[in-house]
Amino acid sequence: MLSVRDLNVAYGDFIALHGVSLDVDEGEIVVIVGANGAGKTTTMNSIAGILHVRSGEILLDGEHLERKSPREIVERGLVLVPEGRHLFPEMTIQENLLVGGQAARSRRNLRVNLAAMEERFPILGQRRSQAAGTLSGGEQQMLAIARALMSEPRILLMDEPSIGLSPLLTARIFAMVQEINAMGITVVLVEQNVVQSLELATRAYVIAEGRVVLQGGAAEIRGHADVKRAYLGEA
Amino acid sequence: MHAALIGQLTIDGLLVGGVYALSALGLNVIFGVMRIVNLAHGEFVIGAALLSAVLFERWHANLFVVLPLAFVLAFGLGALIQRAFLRRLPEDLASAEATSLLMTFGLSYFFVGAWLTFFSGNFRSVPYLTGAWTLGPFSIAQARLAAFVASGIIAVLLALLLRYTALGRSIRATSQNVQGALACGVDVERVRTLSFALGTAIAAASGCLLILIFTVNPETGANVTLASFAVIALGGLGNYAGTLVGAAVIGLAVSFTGYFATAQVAQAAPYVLFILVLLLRPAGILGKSGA
Repeated sequence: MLSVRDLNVAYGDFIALHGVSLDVDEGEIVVIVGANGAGKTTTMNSIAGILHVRSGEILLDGEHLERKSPREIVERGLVLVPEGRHLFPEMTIQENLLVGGQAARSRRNLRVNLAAMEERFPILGQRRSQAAGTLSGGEQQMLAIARALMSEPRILLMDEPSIGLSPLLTARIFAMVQEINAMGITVVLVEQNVVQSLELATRAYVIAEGRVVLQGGAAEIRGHADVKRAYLGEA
Repeated sequence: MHAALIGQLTIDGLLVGGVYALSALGLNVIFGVMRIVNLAHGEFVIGAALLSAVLFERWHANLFVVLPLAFVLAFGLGALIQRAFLRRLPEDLASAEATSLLMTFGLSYFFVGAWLTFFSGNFRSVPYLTGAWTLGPFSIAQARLAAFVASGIIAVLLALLLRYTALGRSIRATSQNVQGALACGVDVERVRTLSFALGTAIAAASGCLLILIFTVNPETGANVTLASFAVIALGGLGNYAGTLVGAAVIGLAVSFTGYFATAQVAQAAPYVLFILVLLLRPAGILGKSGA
């Protein structure tokens, strides 16, 4: 479904990605793990069109995305839940959701989708007229996910959705990822919680210093000696 | 000092404040979305003011004709300027701020020259509503009241647009978090163009109302820009409710200093307040400190 070929991205003189390639099949949950600064967020933002790609190809169902604007990419059903959520803090929860649903692909279902999100995330319904900035961290993450779902994505990119959340809330976010996948939405997940994310993933990529250093089935990656040593604290 | 006099000066000041508020709201829309400090703002106000004066002299065109016309023309001009110049600013924020200042400073000079060519350097006004109503001990100038009411109507329409339309939500979303707006697929470039156009059109509308009260020529634009900045500095940048408070303060300052000191001092009053606020309350009168 999504195919990234030999992606190179630079910030000025600093080369952030050196030829990253990855594939995501329809219906999968693919996890990207790696240390801070390895290039995970850069990869996600490049796919979503927010960062300028120096070279390489990003194909969604065979269509090139690497020169498309973020809006054109959203209209094709690829939507990003950005790292750090990037909500509209002074707008109400309902307004945040409405902005999420304003894409042409989902606009005609705006009210239906809004009602569906308020049902799926009751806290968002109860507080619909409250400013988004007043929500707790976990609630803000739910709003960020719900906002992305408003545009009826086919493939959802989630960048560190559990960052800064308690273990309990992290577990809820992971359950939500599985629910979203069960709805038929393909998921690409960047995570620091390596163990938990590998449990729900079909496949995984390990990125280090802007390169894919390891890839394979989630169980295989979980059992790999390097991964055990670097991320799982096992000898 | 008579209570009646204080009341009269307060009425005059608040009515003028309405027009200042409208001009500042236009500036605030542009700053909020684009983070551009538009030094050419006053030129759009004055351009529309002079246009309405000329149309009044030639054809006795009234406000209901001139204001929509100026609004539409300025909207188009604003969109053109955004697409031709401001869109080409570098992406990196720090250098974009400096370049945008120079760019709008240049545009300001260009338009002063253009208005001098079109309208000459003569001072003009519109002797359109010259009467006054008497209300007990107070007299309410028709022109001031009309300008205040019209400003209020336009400000309410703007508030409704920002709050209840998809475009308004996109404008607010873009000003609160560009990355978030991009992630939602908001056409940020289009929002920027429309915001600059809208801000410019609101400036023009305020110009059509300003000239009901004041006499202007092409070189008075800088005063308007500075007064609008003073209003925003008082109210807090990007704070729409604060803008109304700031405008009332500036209107009152101009009204009172104009009576108790001289017209020259009255002209300086907004800037003195501007500097005092920047020194004492940099986030604005209503602003959170450190914001």
